[in-house]
Amino acid sequence: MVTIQDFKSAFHSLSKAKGYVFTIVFTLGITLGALVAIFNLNYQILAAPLPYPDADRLVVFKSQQYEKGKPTNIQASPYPLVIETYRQKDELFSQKALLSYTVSIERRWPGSPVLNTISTTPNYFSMLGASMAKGRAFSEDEDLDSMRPVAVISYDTWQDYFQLDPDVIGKTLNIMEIEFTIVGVLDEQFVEPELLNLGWKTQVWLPMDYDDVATPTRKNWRASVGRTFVIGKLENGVNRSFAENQINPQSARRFEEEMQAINDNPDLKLSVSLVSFYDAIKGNSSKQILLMLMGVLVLVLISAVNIINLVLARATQQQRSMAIQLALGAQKKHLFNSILGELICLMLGATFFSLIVSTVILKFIEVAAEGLLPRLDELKIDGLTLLFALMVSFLLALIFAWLVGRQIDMRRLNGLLQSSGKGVGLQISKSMRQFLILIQITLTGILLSISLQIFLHSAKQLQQDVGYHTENQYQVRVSVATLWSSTTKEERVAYFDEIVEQLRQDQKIEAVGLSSGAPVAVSSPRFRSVVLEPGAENKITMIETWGNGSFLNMMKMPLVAGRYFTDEEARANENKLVINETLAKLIDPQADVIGKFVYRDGEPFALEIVGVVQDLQIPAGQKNPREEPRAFRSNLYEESEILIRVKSGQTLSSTEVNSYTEKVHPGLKVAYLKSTDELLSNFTHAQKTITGLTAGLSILVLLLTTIGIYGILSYSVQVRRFELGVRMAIGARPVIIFLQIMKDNFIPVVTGLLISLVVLLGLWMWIQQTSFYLSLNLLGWLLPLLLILVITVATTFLSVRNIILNPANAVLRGD
Amino acid sequence: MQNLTLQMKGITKVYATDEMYTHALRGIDLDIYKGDFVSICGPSGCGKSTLLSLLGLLDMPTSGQYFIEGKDVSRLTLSEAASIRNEKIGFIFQSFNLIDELSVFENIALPLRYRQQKVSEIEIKKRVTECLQIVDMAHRAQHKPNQLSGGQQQRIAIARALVGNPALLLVDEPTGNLDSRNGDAVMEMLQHLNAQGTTLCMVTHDPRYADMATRKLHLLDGQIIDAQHISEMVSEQI
Repeated sequence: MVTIQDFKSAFHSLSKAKGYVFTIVFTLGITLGALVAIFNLNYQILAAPLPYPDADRLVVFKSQQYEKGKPTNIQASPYPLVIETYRQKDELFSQKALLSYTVSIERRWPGSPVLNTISTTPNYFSMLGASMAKGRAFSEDEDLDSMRPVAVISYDTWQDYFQLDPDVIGKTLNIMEIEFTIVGVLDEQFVEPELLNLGWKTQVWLPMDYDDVATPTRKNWRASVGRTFVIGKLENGVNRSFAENQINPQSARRFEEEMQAINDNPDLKLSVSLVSFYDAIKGNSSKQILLMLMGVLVLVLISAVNIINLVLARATQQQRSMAIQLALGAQKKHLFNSILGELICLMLGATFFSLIVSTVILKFIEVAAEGLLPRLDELKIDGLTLLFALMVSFLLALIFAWLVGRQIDMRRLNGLLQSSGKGVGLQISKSMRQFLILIQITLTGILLSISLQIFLHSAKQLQQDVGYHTENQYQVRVSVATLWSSTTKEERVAYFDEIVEQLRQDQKIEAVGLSSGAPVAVSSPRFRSVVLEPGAENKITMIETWGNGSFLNMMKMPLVAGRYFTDEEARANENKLVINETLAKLIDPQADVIGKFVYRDGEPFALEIVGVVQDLQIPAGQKNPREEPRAFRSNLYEESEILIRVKSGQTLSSTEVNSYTEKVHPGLKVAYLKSTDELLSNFTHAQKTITGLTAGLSILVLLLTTIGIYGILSYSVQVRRFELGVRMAIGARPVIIFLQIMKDNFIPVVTGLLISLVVLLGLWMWIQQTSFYLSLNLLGWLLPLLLILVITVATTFLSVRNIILNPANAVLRGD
Repeated sequence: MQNLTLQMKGITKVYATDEMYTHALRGIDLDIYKGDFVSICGPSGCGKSTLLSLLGLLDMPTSGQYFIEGKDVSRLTLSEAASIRNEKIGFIFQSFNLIDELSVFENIALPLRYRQQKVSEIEIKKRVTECLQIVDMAHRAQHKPNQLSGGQQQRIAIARALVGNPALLLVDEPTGNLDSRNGDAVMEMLQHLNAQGTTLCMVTHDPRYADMATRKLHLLDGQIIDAQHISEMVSEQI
């Protein structure tokens, strides 16, 4: 039992060893801070209760369509089925709500800002227990088919657009040319569940009647809208799998009935599952954050090894005082308590510092991992985090104290006093020192290799050319909004043609093209299937982009064979295709495809391949970066993305583009305008975060290892100082002494490297079994090896420099 | 000058700290000839060990000139000093300073292994065996130093000092850690070596052993106050 007196003595003793205290508090504080932050992140995502009443009863209806038993790319239900599911009354759910995610444009406000919007039903707010800062949520009479134009806004929207105006209730928003009266402002503390996109923050909630799903889609059982779905709250006592077993067959049957009724693909099936809010929000982030936790644990281990060495070295310095205590009748437990008291003081200091470090790391994670990990808004240092930090610290203190206790040899300590301190006493044995070096090298080898491989993989993706022109280009999406219902497709296509003509008149604009979306755009790519013969079984899934010839000319994708299609071919819907090499090789292993035809699944007409372009190199996270089969089709889309290239040094704004769109039709407004480089930069956010994190981790590992190995080596050299002095006295040159120390370290260093190689090979074999993709880089293996060798040489020199740079006499005297 | 092994001219050594300068040696002039057996004595703090360190190139003088076999060694790099020490000087310490991890054989072989010009294993074995026989310890070649008595350890230290055929043997209180019987034996061995032509310079407190030398230097406050051949001293006494 550590007494108050032990703590007092420890505090007094530590106050005289400031360097020792600083090294331990700094080293452990940083790594413990990282551990606390990542623990907090793991807890928040994997285990923390959701901030909603009865959160374990909340579920999301997830859909997956299958063809001949295989899952298709469509993970949604047809819109009519979504509405049916919502309307269906049963005893399984106490509440249901519809959600439809979109972006809206407030057309009256300057710059017509885009607002993240959810169209929903009244139960949404009560299911989530949302409290209001002002006004009210939607009422029951604002449910489906009520056509009541009301709106609820977020606290941030109130702050950003209304400057917290206390009279905001009753004011209006103009969205889709409809005046929505604001009836409520959500509380600042409201945490929105990230059910569709991570990092999504809704700014406006509208009634479900005003979702922007196109009128034809609302009744179309062929069309599925992934951003529209149902959430529900299970009745008390109803099991989720029981409810799923009831819902799934009903939905599948309805889907089958309707598909039969419209004579569509009979092989297409639908499956609906009920996913808990926990799993829906968590998504597939578990693996990433658990890997982060493992990485940080290795860091803590490295720093723990450092500290073990420091603590043992200090114990050797204190051996005389221990011997005196023994001579005065102290027992081993008294010495242990004294050591533990000192270590607890140190660990408390490290814990305090770690909380500061973890706060900084959590703030960094909130920014860097936005859109990559869920529940970042909820991260905070709370009681649980503090308890975790204290428990880890106390555990480490116990382990360190136990290790020192094991080294205390009572007989040798007694002998210390009897023989005036010559040649006996407490020392870290050579085998223990070599073991500590071995552990350091093994852990460093593993962590550094993994970090550098991931770093190089991500950095390569960031640096590589995407394969199409991006400079001075803007991608502009123009919303047709209410024109959907009042115009024909041909009219809408014509509007876009007119906008293009208007833009081409602008002196600062160099070129304008139209497409359904550039390879990296705000909208998701569209996957389509093609067959080589009408009715053929084997389908090839590809990303399909509609566009005109100008779009292809602006993209400047290098042609491998054939030609681009022209604007005229696009306007005439001549169905020409320009495909990438990957798709060409799938169609013909020799990629001899010019003039060949493919057929869109379910469509009667043929698509003629007129050109083959090189594969693009779009960063694809940790997935296999192999380019997907991709085709550009010569058709004009009715809600195109406009690609605009400005002259060098010129810029473009939404207001400028709006001035052209309004000339064509006042209902046409810019929904977003972003430069291609900015979109690419956003797209590579994950790579940048990973690159930054792994670079930081590598530097930290190197720093800790350098400190650790230096600590061990300098202690070793100190222990051997006299012996080295004797060697020098009998003629060993400085370089010989240096090589001697190097040679002594060689075995643990090489053994550590070999062990880390074996572990890495095991990891590599495991990774091969998973979907995780990592392109291995020779530099990623050689650099850790080189860095570890450099560290070993550098730390050996640093630790031995006081010996070899001084005359032998000074070494022997111990100056 | 033909037989002059080493020569010191006006050697001083000053130890400087932030607070003070300590003059350990003040203008030492010393000649040691081949075959000399010089003993250095004097009270504690007089500069004996400093002088021995400078003689052995374990340290460098603050000023003055030092020649070994005619070569100026006053301003050498640490590496050059180590090489000369290795080839020209043998050390015998009070506390033996054998390396516990190495066997007796390896301890003796160590100076040869540090030679810049590589010495073959056959030559090393030959030289070590010869030296072990000189000190009568051939039967202990594979023992570790801590398995030997103090007297035996000092004999091994003498063997180590001899193995490189040094021009000069520097001996620092060789009997300080030994009982009188072992001390006498070690001194007898040193006398025997000197009789066979080995040049010796020894620091000692013990007047009995100091008298065994052929020349006796008295140091006080960093200066040689008296340098006599023992034969002269003996004749004076007579």
